[in-house]
Amino acid sequence: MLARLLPALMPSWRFFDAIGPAPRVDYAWVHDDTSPMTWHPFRPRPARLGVARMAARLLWNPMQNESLYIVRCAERIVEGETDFPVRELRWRLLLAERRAELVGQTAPSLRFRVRAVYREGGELLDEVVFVAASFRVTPAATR
Amino acid sequence: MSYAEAVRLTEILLGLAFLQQSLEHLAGPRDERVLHLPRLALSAALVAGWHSGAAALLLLVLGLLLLRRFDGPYNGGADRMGLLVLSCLCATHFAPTALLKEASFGYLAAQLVLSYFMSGWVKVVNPAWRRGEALVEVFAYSAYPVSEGLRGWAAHRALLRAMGWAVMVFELAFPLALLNAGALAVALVLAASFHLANACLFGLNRFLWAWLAAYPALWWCQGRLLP
Repeated sequence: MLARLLPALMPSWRFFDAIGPAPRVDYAWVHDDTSPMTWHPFRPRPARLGVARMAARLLWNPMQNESLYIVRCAERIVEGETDFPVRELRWRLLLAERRAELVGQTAPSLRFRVRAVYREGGELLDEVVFVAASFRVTPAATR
Repeated sequence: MSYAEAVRLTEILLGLAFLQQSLEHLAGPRDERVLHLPRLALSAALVAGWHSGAAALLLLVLGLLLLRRFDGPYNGGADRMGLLVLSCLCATHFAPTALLKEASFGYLAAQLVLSYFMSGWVKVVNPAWRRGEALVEVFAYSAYPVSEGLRGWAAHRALLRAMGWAVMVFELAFPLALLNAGALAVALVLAASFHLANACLFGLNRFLWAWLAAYPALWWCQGRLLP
């Protein structure tokens, strides 16, 4: 536990030192791991955000802060970690389903994937780096 | 500003920052509410100055539990700065001597200066930042812009290059502001404006409030070192 506190007591302060691959999370309703998938972006950004909304978000910004946490989980998956971040992204999708954020349910289970968007040789590349196993969505699972 | 006034102002600003954060979690799942409800009460105590030493210590315990729940910080650097301010506040209450109490508050001031200087240093040694490409990439494809419309800013390369250099020069020059109280006041206003811009453009609102909470320590420290 104290090991987790140490980076706060002696931070590196390396903000935006390099612009690495940017993760995106998509989800799909599926019957099982072999069924065809239609992917939907999880938490897509709004097309525009007015000044008043931006100002209000200084004090009340739970969705964007959760989105930043989701991005961090996805980054950890891109970095090769699959235990905690995969569990946490499944949980965030279940919560999103409970809040009716996802597109309408067309199958009993959900899957998600993580894409990495990055620049290489001047070209913007978009690569799927992880596809999670499907998991069943039941009312009890989202409680 | 006296030491006692600076510590008290830090308690108020940090308490408000934690109140803002914890309120956002009240609509969240039960396991988060269980941690954030007591955090709300303790943050209110910190703002009110009601047993603030005990409140700070219990908030630190809750901070550790939150680190365990999210397997690290929920909100990256903002959470880390919050925990740093909180740890230093605890030391101002529980360190055994007045000198150690002041030293721990001074440590917070030093870390605040480093937070700007190191951020500038790691950027300026990166050719992508010096060429102005890094900020273009932030807007073009990073996960940070709060709307898709903001991605259009990536086309304004000259402007973003100038903005990138302005940020780097400001961050690297920040320690010089310690030489004069007037210069420090200007630097803190500029720094707060920088966090405000990051909050508006990238949704990093928690950084603004967490960093503001550390400002009284630096204001006091400057007066202590160069009266």
